[in-house]
Amino acid sequence: MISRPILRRPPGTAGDALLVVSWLILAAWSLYAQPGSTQQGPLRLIVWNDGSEHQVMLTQAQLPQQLSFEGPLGLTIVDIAPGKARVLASSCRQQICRLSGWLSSAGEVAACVPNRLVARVVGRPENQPEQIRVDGISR
Amino acid sequence: MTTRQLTRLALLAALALILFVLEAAIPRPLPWMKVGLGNTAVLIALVMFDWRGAAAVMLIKVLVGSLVTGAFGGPSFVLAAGASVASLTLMAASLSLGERWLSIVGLSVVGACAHQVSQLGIASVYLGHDGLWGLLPLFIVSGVIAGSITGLVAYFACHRLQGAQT
Repeated sequence: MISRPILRRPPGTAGDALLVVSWLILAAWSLYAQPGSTQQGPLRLIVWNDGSEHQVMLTQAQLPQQLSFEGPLGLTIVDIAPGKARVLASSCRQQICRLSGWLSSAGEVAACVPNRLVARVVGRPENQPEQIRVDGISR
Repeated sequence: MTTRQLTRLALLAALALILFVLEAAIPRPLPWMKVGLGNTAVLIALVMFDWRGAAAVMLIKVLVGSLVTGAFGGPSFVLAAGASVASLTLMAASLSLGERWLSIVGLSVVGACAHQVSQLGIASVYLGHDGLWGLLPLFIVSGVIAGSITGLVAYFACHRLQGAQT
């Protein structure tokens, strides 16, 4: 076994702090530069399933409803309710998609990699006004 | 490599495997997040032996661990194997480049975050879609937390192991 300085160095060095801050900056940057992260339009669920894309409005009158998607392992059932959606059942082993629970705000994702399915909420709820951008204020 | 070193490496591999299997059986704090305690043994092997020793521990953990949990050969296995290779590669590179200014915890954070980001990358390639990248901020933050925990465990374990050595 090697006896090297890193084994004796207590945690929390300047290098450690620099690394943690760099990763957190990357996380903050990716929060604002996400592909497809849109607040525009009505609240809806986009489901990518084995190469095809489906959009479901989360504000329609005929909700709730259940949709099923065929994947390599079998069916994934998506439960759609007013203003929210979730994976209700999946034939995958780990059940990460189902355990992700209800998705209700833009950017929330539930994914089942083995069954090749990604469900993501985009848009804005009906009662939430579009963000007002003010260029300048005068009296 | 002496018999004593080989025995210690084998014990680390066994430890990695036990922690990997145990962690697969217990509920996760978030559905897609796990602490990755098995990586503690990989990290200890990296700093107390070298990257070859760590690679041996990592390979045993991923191959035998996925056989035990039933994930071998499936997409979860590909994700775990690819992310583990990426994680170890970046940790080994950070150790050789930044040994003078990093501690084991910093090294562990690099490994955990590399694991998380590469997992998203591999999953996105498999899915043929970039929809998963929305999870990147959460994955990085959970990587920092998990890496700090495994790094601290590895730090205290290394202290004990060095004490036992003398």
